[in-house]
Amino acid sequence: MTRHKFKFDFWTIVTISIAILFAVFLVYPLLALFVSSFKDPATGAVTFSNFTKFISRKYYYQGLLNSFKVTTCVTFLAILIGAPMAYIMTVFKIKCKGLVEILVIISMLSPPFIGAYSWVLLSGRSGVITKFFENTFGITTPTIYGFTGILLVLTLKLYPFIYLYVSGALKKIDASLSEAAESLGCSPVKKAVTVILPLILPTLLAGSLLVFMNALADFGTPMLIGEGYNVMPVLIYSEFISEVGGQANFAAAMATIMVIITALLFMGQKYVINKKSFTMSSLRPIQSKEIKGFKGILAHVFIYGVVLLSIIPQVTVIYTSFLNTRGSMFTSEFSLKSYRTVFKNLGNSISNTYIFGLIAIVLIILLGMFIAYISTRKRNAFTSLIDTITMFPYIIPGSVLGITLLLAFNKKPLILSGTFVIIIVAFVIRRLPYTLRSSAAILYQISPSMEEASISLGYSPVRTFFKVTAIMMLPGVMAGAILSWITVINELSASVILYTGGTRTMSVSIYTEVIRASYGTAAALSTILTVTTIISLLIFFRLSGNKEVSI
Amino acid sequence: MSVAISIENVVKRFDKLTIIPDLSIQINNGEFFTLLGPSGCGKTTLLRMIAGFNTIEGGIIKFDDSVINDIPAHKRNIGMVFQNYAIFPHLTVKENVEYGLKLRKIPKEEFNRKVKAILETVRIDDYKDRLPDKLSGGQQQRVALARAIVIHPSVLLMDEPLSNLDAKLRLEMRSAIRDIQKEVGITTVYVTHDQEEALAISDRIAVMKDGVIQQCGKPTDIYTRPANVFVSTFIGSSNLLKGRIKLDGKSKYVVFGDGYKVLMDNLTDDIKDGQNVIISIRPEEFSIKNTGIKVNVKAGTFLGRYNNYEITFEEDMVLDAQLTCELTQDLGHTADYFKKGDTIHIVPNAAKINVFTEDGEQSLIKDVKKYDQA
Repeated sequence: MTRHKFKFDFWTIVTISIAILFAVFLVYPLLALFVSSFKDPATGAVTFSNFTKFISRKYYYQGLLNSFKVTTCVTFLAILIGAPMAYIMTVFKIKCKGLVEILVIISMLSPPFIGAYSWVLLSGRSGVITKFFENTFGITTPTIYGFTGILLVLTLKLYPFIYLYVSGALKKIDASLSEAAESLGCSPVKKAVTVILPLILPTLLAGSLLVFMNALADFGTPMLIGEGYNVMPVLIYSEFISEVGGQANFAAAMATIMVIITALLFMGQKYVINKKSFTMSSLRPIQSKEIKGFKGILAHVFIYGVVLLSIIPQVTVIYTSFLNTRGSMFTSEFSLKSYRTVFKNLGNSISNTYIFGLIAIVLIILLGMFIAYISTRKRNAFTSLIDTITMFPYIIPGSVLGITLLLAFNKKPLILSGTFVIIIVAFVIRRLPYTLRSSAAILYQISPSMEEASISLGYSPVRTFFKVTAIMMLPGVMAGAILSWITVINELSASVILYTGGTRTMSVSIYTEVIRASYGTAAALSTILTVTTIISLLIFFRLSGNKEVSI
Repeated sequence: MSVAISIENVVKRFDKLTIIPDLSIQINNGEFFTLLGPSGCGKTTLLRMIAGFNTIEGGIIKFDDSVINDIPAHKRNIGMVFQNYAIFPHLTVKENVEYGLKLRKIPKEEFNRKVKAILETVRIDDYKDRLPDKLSGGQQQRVALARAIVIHPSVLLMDEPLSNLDAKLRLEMRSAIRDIQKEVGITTVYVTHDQEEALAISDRIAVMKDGVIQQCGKPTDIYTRPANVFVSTFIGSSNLLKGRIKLDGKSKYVVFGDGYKVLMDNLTDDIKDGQNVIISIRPEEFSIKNTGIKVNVKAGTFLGRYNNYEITFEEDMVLDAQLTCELTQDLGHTADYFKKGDTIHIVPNAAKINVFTEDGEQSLIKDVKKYDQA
């Protein structure tokens, strides 16, 4: 009998190639980071001094405390906004529901630093709102910089996660459960608390952890609006950028601390999802009811208010992009000056975004399909390991990934720093999971007997993959790929560390223009980015056939 | 094109778990052969070993004289029909049928002729340009059948192909499959857990349990002369009663718990006087008489053509494993219904009843074959 015969077939080659790619571009850089965090900057000896320095100086550990403070507040606010919103939208008929959902998703997928920067435009020191209150009422509005600003921007950016998670869970609750509670004499409030809340609690928890991790890792927002309110990603960035070499070990140590914290959160989230969630499938989802009178007005005001607040940054940015500028100030007449400047001086950042993005997305699609296939259909210890490694980007904040890649590839044998390759690597690693998860999800729905049917008809397993499996996977793959694409072109925290003059992308340019107080060009670039995002989203909705985004 | 299949001492293990310990069968060329058994008995596992989707841990499988153990699935030239049809949703009906044929280098004319012929044979010609999601379950299964047969496979393998259809369609497709198989004349291995389906469709049936063949033979033999107690209860229903052999000169009797005895002329020769046996009697093998075994009617169900009664015996006559006993009253010639609480007398039909050894493993009826090569 020929058992355990090692066959060098197509999938073995694919598996090994992917393993090598991940080993080189993810595992090795991460290990290098951890190792360097234990190195003395001067002597290179193994030391804990980087960590003790972090714990002993208030300036540094305060950053971590600040991070936790702002992140915890953001998470609570996001729950307070997102969960009731999901409940109201599911249970009651809200006018223009479709539009509301699209706006929520747009505000979620647009980069948070655009939010930060447009809130600066609105209520910063010389912002429209600030000036209005000062000139009309003589009131000084509370400052938007620092803790408040970060809280505002991140909450408005992240509550959609809670909203989408909870709406998803509510859709799976069968109406009969709710009716059963009513028939047993439950009041509506008691029903919501004793029946619905326990059922969605695991989802709510998972969503909250996701919000927490996102808020913790976000770099652009605190950088633009924080103004001295230091949080971890900003600290890591500034330590690393200020004196590369000298402080790299210390930055690495801080990055290590970050990764450990996010890894714990991630495992917590996995645990909640796996162990605590209920399997529900509703034959008859809850039907939304008319809501009238005072309650109806209240519900609409709440929903529209939240959506309006979260969409204001986009509107502001688009509006101001068409205004004439004088220095860093906008004047009142309309003009395309900002766009002309952008195309003249920053044209390459636009083309870079699309070219790098397209290359990255092609790689993401290929890798996503292959990894999804080997980890679902060719399940063994090795492919499971690859599957686990692809989860790493969830726990590595973008700025940390940027630093690890730079540290690993700025020396021989593989010098990639300053090239477009390293940017694409960062894009692929960070945004692969969306495509991978959606590819795996659709693969689980495709019965293996489809492939067996093809094989029984004489097609080899490899030809079967390309003629049947790949084609059937395509809708799921594309849905994920568009999410990957949207998040690739909006990527800032890794590329801001990796870019050089020739490889800057739109989001990097927006960031640098804002830092230079060149608000007009930043607005024009942001508009181009936002429009690209919206068009991509519309394609996504068309492809996936519904208005749902699963993150 | 069609082949005979020899399965010789085949073993299947998943990790440490042995699914099939040692199994041998011969399937004749052109035969409609059914693997029947409860879920988990290994019937699908065996089918997938023939198909090449499961590895073979021991023994050999041959198509005619060539061993296929190491031939990958896509080179075995098999046609397979799946429980969930596995129709490619992105291809039309015609494209689905053409899919396998495209690989085989066939002149265009012959190609078209073959496709047309099979579409007509399975009667899906009218839908040939539709996408599968526009078809009913029965139509999809016809497409699957056409797709598998058109490539002229050496064997046709069917894995519970009717279990996703509703009762009426199941009957219709059952005879369609049977007719098409006979028309094409292809060796077919059919897996099902539905005994009625197996009886109706097969040339031969192998009844499996725990990876072991319990009996292999023609449908009528399997039903009327089961080789052991498992088969007698799995195929149809049987009342299992405790009994004893009594030899009186040349006459052989089986004696029931209450002393009632039946003269038997088809018992094997090696039985001994006083030997304990299991008597297996199907509900329709009793007749209701004025004398005989006394039973009480516990419940009656009127089923139109006949009445089905749940009965209890007065004495301790029933095997412990038997929970309820059943009696069928043919209503063709009587309108005397019994009701709950009635006491009646029944007489078993000596020519039909089966007698097994006390452990239930072996039939004591003459010429009952555990394995019939037909």
